[in-house]
Amino acid sequence: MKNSNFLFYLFSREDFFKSISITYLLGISILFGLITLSLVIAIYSHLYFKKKIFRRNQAIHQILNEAINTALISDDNIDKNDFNIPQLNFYLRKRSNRQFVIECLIDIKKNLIGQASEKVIEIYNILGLKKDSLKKFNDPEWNLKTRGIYELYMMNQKDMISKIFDHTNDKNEYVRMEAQIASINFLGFRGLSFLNKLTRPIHQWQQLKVIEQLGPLDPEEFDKMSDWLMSKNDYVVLFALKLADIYRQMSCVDQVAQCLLNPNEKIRRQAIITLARIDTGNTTSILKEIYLNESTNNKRTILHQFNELGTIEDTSFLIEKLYEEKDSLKLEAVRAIVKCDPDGWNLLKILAENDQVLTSIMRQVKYEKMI
Amino acid sequence: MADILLIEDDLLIQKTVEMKLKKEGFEVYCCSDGKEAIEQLTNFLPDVVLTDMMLPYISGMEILIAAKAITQKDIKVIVFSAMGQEKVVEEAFEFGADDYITKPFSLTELTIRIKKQLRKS
Repeated sequence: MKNSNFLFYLFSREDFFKSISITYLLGISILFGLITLSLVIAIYSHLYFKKKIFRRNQAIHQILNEAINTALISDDNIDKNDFNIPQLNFYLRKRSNRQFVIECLIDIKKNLIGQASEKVIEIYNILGLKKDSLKKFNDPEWNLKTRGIYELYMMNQKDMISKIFDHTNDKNEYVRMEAQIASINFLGFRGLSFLNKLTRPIHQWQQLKVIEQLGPLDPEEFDKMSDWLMSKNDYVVLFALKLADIYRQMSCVDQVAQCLLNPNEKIRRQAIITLARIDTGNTTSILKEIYLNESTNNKRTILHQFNELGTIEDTSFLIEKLYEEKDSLKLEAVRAIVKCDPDGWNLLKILAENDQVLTSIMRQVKYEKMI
Repeated sequence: MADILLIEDDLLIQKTVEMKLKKEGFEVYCCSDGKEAIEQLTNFLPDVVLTDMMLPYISGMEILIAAKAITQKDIKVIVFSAMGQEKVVEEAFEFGADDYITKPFSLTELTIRIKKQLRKS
């Protein structure tokens, strides 16, 4: 505040501008001129180099396009001499250009399967690009290592399986994640064996990525599922429960039920969901047993399972839950009663006669049903 | 010799498919975006349209609708879809798609599917 008052006083003085010397003004102008000029030079040189890289990439693209496409659509094996192109060799001397070629090949590989895909890998090997991927893989920098792993598994370099597999429990999260994905890519369901020795977290995002990778593959037997469900690593247990749910691992029902006693609330919640999905007939009675000692969130999860599993025999259990303290539990109970008892709605109407909260919950459920 | 309109924004893939189809004896016209594809639909009057679903400016779905609506010719449309895009494929069939192929795909399988569509027409 004091400063602004001072500046105002300074500028309002008539003799202030007269006191600034011409040399001073000239100096300031030259300084700003130089700054502007250097900015313009920086922008132009940036654009120039960008354009240069773009043109160079286009040239490589064109050469590659011809060579790759001829190789891909040919019924014969690839001839190494087809890729002994002087212009391409010239470009490939530079590391950044080799990286561009690797990216182009990965792009094609992502879109193709079958013989063409195999040929892309062959081209990668012929051009000696594996050396670059290995260099990145052996680099201590996590971002380069991750990139190296990605390139090696995309180009199906099977001789690298064990070395990459060693990183599935790496201390760096990103290296670990990429190595786990690589493991699945190389070995399919057998690649999940990294879970046997995983001592570090496997976060939800990574779990989703692994599940996505497994999606198109034919499910195999999960020999180690029981071990994963009993793992000391909570992340492994959680992930195993999800896998047991997705792939309906009925044979592990006892181990899943054991997880209901786990001290970790999230594990117990996932166990409730998984158990309901692989229901072997007595799930509802197990859920009723554990209900009382569960957290509110897990109680809600239990009640939610009655939407699918509940029968008319569970109505009395569900009615008891209408007197829970939390409205969210009452809401789940009402939903379940309506689903599992054909006469549930009329029963609820009677119970709600002098209960305003229950009446409003029923209105909510009625509204949901209308939607 | 059948005429094929290929709409794919990934130029490397576009070129690969184009060369494969040309080798099989088809006449191929390529576009990298939806706008150009709509123009070419009426000029080129292809027998088969191969279109990616995710395209710049105009989506593959709109091209499919246009292919079925703006010409008198019975143009067969095969859509490329990514893995896990079942809903998009379902929608495409509702709008009249004749077949679909999931990326990553085999060039041989693509050729077989095109030939199958041509036999139908």
